[in-house]
Amino acid sequence: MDNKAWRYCLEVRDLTAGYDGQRAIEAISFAIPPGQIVGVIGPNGAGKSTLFKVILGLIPRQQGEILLHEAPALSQRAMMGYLPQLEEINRAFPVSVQDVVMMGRYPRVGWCRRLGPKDYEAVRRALARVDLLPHALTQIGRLSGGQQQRAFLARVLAQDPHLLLLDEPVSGVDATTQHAIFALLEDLRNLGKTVVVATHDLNCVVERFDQVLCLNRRVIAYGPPREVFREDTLDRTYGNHLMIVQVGDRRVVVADEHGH
Amino acid sequence: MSRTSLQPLPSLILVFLIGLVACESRPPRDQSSGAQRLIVATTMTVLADLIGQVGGDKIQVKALVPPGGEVHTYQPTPEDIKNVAQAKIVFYNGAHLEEWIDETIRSAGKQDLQIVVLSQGLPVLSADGGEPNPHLWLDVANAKAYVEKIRDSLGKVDTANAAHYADRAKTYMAQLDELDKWILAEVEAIPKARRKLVTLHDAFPYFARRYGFTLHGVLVASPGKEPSARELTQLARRIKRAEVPAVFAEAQFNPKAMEVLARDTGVKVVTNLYNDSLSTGPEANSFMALMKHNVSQIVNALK
Amino acid sequence: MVELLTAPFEFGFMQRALLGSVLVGTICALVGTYVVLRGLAFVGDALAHAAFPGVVIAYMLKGNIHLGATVFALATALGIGLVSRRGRVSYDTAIGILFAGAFALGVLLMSTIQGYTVDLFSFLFGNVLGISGRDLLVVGAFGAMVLLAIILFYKELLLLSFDPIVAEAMGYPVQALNYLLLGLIALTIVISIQAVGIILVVALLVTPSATASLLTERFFRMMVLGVVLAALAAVIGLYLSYYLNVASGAAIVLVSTCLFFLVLGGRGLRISGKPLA
Ligand SMILES: Nc1ncnc2c1ncn2[C@@H]1O[C@H](COP(=O)(O)OP(=O)(O)O)[C@@H](O)[C@H]1O
Ligand SMILES: [Mg+2]
Ligand SMILES: [Zn+2]
Repeated sequence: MDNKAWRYCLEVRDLTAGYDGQRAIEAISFAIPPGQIVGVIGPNGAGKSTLFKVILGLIPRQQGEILLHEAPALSQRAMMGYLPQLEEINRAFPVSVQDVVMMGRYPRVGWCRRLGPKDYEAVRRALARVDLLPHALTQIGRLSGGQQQRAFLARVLAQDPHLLLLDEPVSGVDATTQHAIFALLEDLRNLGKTVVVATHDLNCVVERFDQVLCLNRRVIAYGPPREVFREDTLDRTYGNHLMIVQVGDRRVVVADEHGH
Repeated sequence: MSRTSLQPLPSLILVFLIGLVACESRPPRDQSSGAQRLIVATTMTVLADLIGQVGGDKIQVKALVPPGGEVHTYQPTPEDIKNVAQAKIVFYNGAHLEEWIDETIRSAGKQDLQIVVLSQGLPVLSADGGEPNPHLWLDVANAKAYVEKIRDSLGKVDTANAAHYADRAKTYMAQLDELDKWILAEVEAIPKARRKLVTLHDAFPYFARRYGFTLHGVLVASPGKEPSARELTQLARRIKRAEVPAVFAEAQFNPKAMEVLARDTGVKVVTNLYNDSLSTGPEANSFMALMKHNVSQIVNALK
Repeated sequence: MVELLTAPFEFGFMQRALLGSVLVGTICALVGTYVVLRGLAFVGDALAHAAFPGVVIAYMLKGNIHLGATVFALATALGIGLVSRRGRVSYDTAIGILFAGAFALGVLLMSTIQGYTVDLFSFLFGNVLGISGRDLLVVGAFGAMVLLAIILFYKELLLLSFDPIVAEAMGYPVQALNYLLLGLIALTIVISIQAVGIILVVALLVTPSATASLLTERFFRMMVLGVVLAALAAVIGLYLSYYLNVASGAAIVLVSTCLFFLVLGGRGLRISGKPLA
């Protein structure tokens, strides 16, 4: 993949962005070395999705810098794979699961070029990774919610990006899928990919992730989960919408997703 | 791009619209000079010319359908209603030519308005038991009957000038006699077997009967109605079978369909006959010029 | 029997009408696939009406009607793109304003031409029998352009139609692709006006593709089926128009509509029949 060893895969410096002149995130700075899984946590409305969208160039930034491998991220968008929080697709759209996953190959194939055997092989592998090979020819709308989520994840895999930005990939999927997805992310990390995941599952973050970014408009804390997950940082991140429960020898953190 | 990038388009349109409205609403203000003259309204420019020939400078005549306009499907404007309301007398052709005139006259709401239907009392032709064909004036004998009716009607409304009208009508009718004779002589140049007419709409039965032509079909059964695939095919077959040398389109219609038909059947096409309207240019700007123009075109194409 | 099939095509105008309406139907079905899947029927209708003042102005100036229509349809496509990006009014509203305004401008201009009603009819309802050899060339040339664009940008237009957000995240120039699609719709409409007129264009654009979408769950097959259905409607419609002596453009559109309801009904039967089987 890279013969050069980059110090950071993604570097965000003093980033401010929002909608209609309002600021949804402010003065965000952090840097992620290659080959790490980073959890982005924060209550609803904290700006997690906004952060992803700015990195991807889907909304303009008001201030700051975003670097992918020390060059502006916007000039290498094909190197970033994106799983939106909510795929607002037309469920009746006449494409198969395989067709959808193939879309991940488009940037690599390039304009006006035809798909080749390599692309079909990559799609097959991606489908196998998410256990959807038997559904390759199923129309996308006929899949269950969890299966659809895996199909979109497979599209990101087929794209083979350096950086994966996954916006709440496990929200609303069953526990089995959830585990399969997290296991998959660990595989990717082991392949040297950098994975950024917005999530409400704090326990998973503690158990599996390398870094955690606590976000609430601003960066509240950034570092390894066991260092960051102290009561005061979580309090400042979530306000009072968080409960810490003792289960056996473990402290289990429960984030109130609905944030009353 | 900034928000202002949208601005030029609407404002351009606005300027354009204002320009149009300005052009449209410029009133015909030459009426002031004719304060004493009898104000006459009529539907077609053809009739306006006949009326003008009889009335001379004692009247002022206004045709509602402008030159080049299509009289059958015309939609009157508010200005037309105003023109009718200002007139003392209205002439129209009748025989279902101007289906829109009754409503216009009613809208004008004038009690003492004299209404003269020029075709009334004249024998009409109807296509196999259908509606009467209104194009009587293309037979000069009928045009003379119109002139007589115009003379009498003007004389009745404006008794002071009755002699004037009678005088002018007499002179003009003599010219119409000349015209009639001239047409009959001109048509002689066409071999008998080639005196065949195919036109865009059904305007020529009176003309054909008087001057010895046979009719071999029309493109549109009534103006405003597109021919169907079958009607068009049948017309094409008739043109080939009857060896019609040329087809004719009237200037007030889009000639494209006729041109296409002519090309497919391999016959000549003439697209500038006048019948329901005078021309804006000089070629047919009076009834007399119109008849001469048509006859020359037809003779040229068929002989 | 053979006589029955060949009789209508004795003359050039019917042959051209057949070729023209099949060609137009084909192009409409190709572009219509995107129109149906992206829910752009209203945009298509808007572009058709917006082309009207262009047609009228070209007619008044005795210029090329296709050219006039193209200019206005493309300008409106651009306008819709701009408004959709920065308007404070909703997309639907913006389109409604634009197309009603443009159409009114056309009617207004038309009313300044004398004898307009007859021609107004042929613009609004088309005249497939009046297609000239040159019209066919224009249809062919524009159609080739549309087809080429669809072949060249097949992948990108598919991605754009299915998931524009991810397309943008991948770095595709989504705005440019949107304009490309609007432009293709505009061109398609321009070449269809002669055949079926402004009012019925949207039917040609939407109905065959909608029917096809009931029959398949694959994008490419939907395109091909749409083309087949459109061509079928054109042929049957022309025969009906000949033998029943009715207007050709409307006959083509109605056959298309009937095919849609036939397929819809067939599907309904199949679905409701399932428990019994
Ligand atoms: N399209 C939008 N237009 C205007 N404001 C938005 C939009 N999307 C999100 N916001 C606002 O931006 C803030 C951050 O939202 P978001 O990034 O979606 O938070 P999260 O993903 O952490 O729940 C919220 O206050 C939200 O209301
Ligand atoms: Mg979010
Ligand atoms: Zn007439």
